[in-house]
Amino acid sequence: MSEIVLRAREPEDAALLTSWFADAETMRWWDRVYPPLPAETLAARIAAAPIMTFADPSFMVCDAGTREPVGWGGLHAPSPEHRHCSLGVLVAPGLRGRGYGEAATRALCRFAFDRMNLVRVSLVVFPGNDAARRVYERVGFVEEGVQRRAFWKRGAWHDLVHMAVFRDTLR
Amino acid sequence: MTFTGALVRLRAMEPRDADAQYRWMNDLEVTEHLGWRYPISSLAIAQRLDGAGAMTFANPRFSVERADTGELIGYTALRDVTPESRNGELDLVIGERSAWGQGFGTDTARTVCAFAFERIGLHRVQLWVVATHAPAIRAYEKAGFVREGVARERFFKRGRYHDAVLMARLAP
Amino acid sequence: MIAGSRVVLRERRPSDVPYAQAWLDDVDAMRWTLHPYPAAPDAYDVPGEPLSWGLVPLTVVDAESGRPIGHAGLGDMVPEHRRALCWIVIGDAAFRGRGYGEDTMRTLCRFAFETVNLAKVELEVVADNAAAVRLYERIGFVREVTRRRARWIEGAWHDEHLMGLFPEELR
Repeated sequence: MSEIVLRAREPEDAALLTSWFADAETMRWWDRVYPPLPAETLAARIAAAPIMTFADPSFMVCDAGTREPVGWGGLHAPSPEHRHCSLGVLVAPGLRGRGYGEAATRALCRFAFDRMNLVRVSLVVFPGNDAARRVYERVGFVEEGVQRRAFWKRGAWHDLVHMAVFRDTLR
Repeated sequence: MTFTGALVRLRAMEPRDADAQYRWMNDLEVTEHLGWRYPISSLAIAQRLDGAGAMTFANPRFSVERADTGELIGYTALRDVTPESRNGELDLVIGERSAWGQGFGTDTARTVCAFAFERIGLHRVQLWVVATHAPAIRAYEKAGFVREGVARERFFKRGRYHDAVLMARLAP
Repeated sequence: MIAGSRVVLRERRPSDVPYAQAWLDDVDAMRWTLHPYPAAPDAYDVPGEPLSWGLVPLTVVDAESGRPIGHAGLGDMVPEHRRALCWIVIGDAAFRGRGYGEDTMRTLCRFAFETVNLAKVELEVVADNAAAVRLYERIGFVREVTRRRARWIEGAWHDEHLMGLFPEELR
């Protein structure tokens, strides 16, 4: 099992992030329609809001040993009233299958529960993305339903599977 | 200009302190008892230090050095200082683990209080400390701070609530 | 103006505001609407621009008398995936439980498919709001996702359904 640490993003991470979000295999299972921001624009955005807050935690996932970035993770739309947020995680092309995704998913959930005091984390995943679903299930996510024909991609409709985990069911 | 205590020296924060501050503020053991909970980028640290040059009544802040070796070991600041009530809220972090448990925190608190009371004429310096952080509470008591009360479960950290102790020292 | 059999859906007008204020102050009407805060005096927003793609807030009026009885609309439109979230509130208690809500919902969905050219209409509803869930199912909505304990309302956790409707399912 690969150990990871979460750190804040730096403007210098922009080129790497942009290359990941332009990767065809990554985008096969990702819910983005348009190409990513140019690296320069992303760098400027990171520089413009350097302090992480409750509203938009976004992390570089790094190998705990080498400290090299191996992925990205974000906690989106946290609700202070309903105490939940959604989660997105990405492992760099070429570094998949080493356990980084599972470690990052778990660390992001722990962060939401232990530091942000939320109680529920949800996510969506495409039905055919079995590797990701297995990871989420191992971490404790439970399927809550299928949003039918929710996504138009490559000329066809796709369903989205919704999953969630609670503070007391995280593994 | 520096302010020197028995063990430490307080000087203005400088951009060259960025690497150490980045290390401390992203060290879970250092931040365990602090209100700080998100990872911080080196850019955010750099911006904070860039603006640190012009110290005013409202925001005195210092890097803490060992008086003997000159090694940078932490920082301290007075926040929310108001000219009318002349109160300030103390921030104090000894970030360098090798400097823990040797009285540097106590001496930093004493020295920054001397600055607060003698140099800029504050009337009261207060701080909140998490109740489980016994070494810090002892250090502040040694530095003349008095426990004024406990705010029950004021502080959420590491997955649960903790009591917070209010401590303060008045001008002599 | 969008005509149903018992109701008419039309643009919001400044003259609706006094009626709307009474609906927004009605605890029964607002109980399940997911807004935890009391409504501000200007909460019933009357758009200053002509309605267009994106957000379509409407007033529901009784077809016979022309009296405003509630509000309904489409929001969160996603042009790529051609779906939107809809809402209805029959604010006037005298018109509840008499089929006005059902007619409003059916009329709104027909408008969404036939005029706005959406491919799917979705809604979020608190699972314990059984009367509303039954109404939506009568029209053809399908429960797709049940988000467990996703809403904190009046001191308790509630599940929330994500329900969806395709044009061929509208009854």
